[in-house]
Amino acid sequence: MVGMDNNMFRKLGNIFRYMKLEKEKSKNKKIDISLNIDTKIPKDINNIEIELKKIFVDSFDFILRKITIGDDFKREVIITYIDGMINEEIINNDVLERFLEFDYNKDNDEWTREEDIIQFIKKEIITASDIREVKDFKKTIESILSGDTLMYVNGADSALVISARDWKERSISEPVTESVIRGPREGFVENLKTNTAMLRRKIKNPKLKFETLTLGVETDTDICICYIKGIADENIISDLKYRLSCIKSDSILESGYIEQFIEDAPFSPFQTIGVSERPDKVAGKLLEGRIAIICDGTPFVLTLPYLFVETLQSSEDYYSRILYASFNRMLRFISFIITTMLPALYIALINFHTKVIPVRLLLSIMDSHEGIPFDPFWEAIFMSLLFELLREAGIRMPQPIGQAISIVGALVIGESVVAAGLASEIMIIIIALTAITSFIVPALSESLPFIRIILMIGANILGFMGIVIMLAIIMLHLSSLRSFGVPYLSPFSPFRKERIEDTLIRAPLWSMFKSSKLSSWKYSNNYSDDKNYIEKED
Amino acid sequence: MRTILYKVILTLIIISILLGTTGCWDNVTLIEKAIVLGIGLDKIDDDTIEVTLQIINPVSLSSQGNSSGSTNTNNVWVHSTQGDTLFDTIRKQLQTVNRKPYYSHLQLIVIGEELARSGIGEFLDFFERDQELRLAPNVVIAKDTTAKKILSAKSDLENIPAMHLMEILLNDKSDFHIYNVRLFDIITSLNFPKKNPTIGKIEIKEEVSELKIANIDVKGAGIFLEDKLIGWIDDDSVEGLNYILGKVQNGLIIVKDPLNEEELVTIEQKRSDTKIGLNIEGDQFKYSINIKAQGTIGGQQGEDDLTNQKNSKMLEKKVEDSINKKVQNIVDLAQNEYKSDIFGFGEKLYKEYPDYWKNVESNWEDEFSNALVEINVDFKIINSGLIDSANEIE
Repeated sequence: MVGMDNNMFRKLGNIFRYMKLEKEKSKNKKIDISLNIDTKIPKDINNIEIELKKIFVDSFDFILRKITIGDDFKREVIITYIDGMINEEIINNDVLERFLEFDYNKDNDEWTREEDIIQFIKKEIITASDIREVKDFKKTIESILSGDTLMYVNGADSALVISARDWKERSISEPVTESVIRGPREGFVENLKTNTAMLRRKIKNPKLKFETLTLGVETDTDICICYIKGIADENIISDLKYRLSCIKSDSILESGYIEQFIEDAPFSPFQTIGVSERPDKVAGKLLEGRIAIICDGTPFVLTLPYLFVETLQSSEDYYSRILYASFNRMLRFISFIITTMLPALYIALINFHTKVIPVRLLLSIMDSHEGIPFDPFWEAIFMSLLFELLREAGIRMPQPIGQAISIVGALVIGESVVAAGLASEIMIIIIALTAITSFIVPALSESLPFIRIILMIGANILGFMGIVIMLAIIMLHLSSLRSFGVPYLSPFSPFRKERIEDTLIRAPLWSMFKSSKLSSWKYSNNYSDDKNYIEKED
Repeated sequence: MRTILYKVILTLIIISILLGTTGCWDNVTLIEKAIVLGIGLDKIDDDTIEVTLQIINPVSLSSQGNSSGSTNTNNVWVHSTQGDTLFDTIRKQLQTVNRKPYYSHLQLIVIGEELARSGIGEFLDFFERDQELRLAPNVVIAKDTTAKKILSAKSDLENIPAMHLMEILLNDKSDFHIYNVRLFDIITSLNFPKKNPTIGKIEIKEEVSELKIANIDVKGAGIFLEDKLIGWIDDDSVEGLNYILGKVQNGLIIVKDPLNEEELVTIEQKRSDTKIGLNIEGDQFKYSINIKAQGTIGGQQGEDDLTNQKNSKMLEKKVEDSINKKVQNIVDLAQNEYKSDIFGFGEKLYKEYPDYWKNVESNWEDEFSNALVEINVDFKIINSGLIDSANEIE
């Protein structure tokens, strides 16, 4: 028997090793498509043209226009850009038209001088506001790809970058994932600049910093780290920068890529980095000393460190009055408990601890269970699976068909399963309750199915005892989790008296105003000691 | 790397093994259980006992069955087996009951008179020993009949007859003619030497072909000497007993109108509190039963105003006399007729004078009979409902 086990292990091990080998092989085979360009800009305009056409071969959206300017002393100029990414009006009015209208004879002297030609054009001719001089040819290519317009002049050793980026983007609309009754109706959009502007509009303070960097070898995605200097913990900022610098990836298409690269516990069911689509929420978190990462091309902004209590918080809690806000907090906490524990408790109750069920309740439970061929555990698993299937189908389906899914779902779950005697009514009520309550804590929706199933397994093996053991394991895991060095369960464990007022209840704003600005994990009063950090000029 | 891999695989294997073993041990799904709500114990002859179970029939409870409106379906299955000992007989049920009888929700234990007269000690031992049972079920003694017959009675009101009977016993809160004890009470009174239990009585009012609960009377009680039944007391004596044991709160007291002897006044007792005092004078113990009670006028036949102070005092006196009489009656019965300490007087003596108790313990039956008992009743009428006196009928 032991020998067989060893054999089995060896075989499985071999399989894994083979898979690893294959992976490495494919890594080596990868084609290197990164740009291999000279850094110097060629002096001859014809060479530039040849070079550019070579780089942008087979790209119909690449526009290259070669014009000749000047009256007596003519010069050749190349203007290139990517179609659809620039504001053509600016290029026409502030660049091309200026060249045609300019009186070259008046300043003939300078116009003919080779070396200052770029400076001259920059100063005297072009009226567009955002112009840069670039000497690196590779950088000019990157600029073109980012949506800038490039102007190469014959004989000059540098090129002009005219920033007239303008492309079609989604207008600011209400975020779909986090809707509120009271609160701003704006959500982040895909454009990084619009997003930073939205934050800047909320926090009009020079201490709000936006540091940019680019990630992704192929995609060159713009990333922006935002924080409020003085409130955010410097150690966490430097830790974050270190982790970001370690990312080695071809592409960053969404902030989720970054999240997965830098999070503390990739295999935990609990997320250690928060995601939000709401500028007011992110602004609030920044003011609490958290750091936000905005990724170009997605409205989802990451916030970190992310603690367990944040899953129960909503920006609306701070906008509505305290009683209602605290009530909602409690409701969310109770929902979290119901949605994770209810099926497990039910299984434990009817399989192990029938004794504690009041007799009349027992009779109705028995009534609904009579004739069901499955064990309650498998019944629960089956029904939860059915719910997850419907949920996933509802998301993936196009909107008009999505409704059909819900009708089929309601019919299948509500009627047929019971009528066919495959599941009991009470189990359906239980699963429906867990489903409804899971929608109340959407921030945890990714971790809920796992916790639920772990607890259900515990309940099915040892009853309440099993639930307690599994809860202990989950608690151990939660308390060992760290988000950028901050204990995940803080302020419960380690207990922080001054932070507890914004957890299960929400204390009045006037009573927690000061401490809400504290970085939530630190004992130090770094903010309240030095008020200059955020106080505006009076 | 390899060790981590092995650990992961090992964990997966352990989890899959655990998943496969879920069917064992304590995990019994509901459909494998037969919920027993009533149990009846009878004596067939000197060696054989009969155990009757009232098991819920889960199919007939289903909502589909109820909606069809047929009341004749058997909601419970009454099934008997015979054997030598209680445990043996209960285990023999498995020869006919496919599911495992599950006793945790047992509501009612009915003991046949014959078995009660020969002693219930053995059965209490089993109930106490078994971990599945709770000590909560209510116990009654079936007078002049068998427990099997009582458990076979059908209920027109409830799905489960045992629940019906059990809830009648719970009505002792508002009717002090019903005497209700739980298994736990019986065991605790038997645990103290010379203290004897009293158990509620259940009897068939009239013999009919198909017995229903409407034909059954739940009132009065059986008096025990140790674990053997020695006699019965009627419902008035039960009222007195309930007063002494401090078990009554609510009940109706009917007295004659102090102003007009032909008319009756109904007093609803709202609260009562009993304290038993003990004095030893020389060789004589003197127990004083102090009953303090409150009540309201619940109804009156005449039109006299009983709410003024003088009349109220007279009415209170009448009520006090009535209570006094009932209490005196049961004290006499216990002391003289049955010589059975059902009040726990011995325990009281033991608690207050432990040394003295040692001397009299062996001879407690006689000492109990000779003990002086003084009854003081203090009854207060606190209001007369929403009206003062009856409306004059014109």
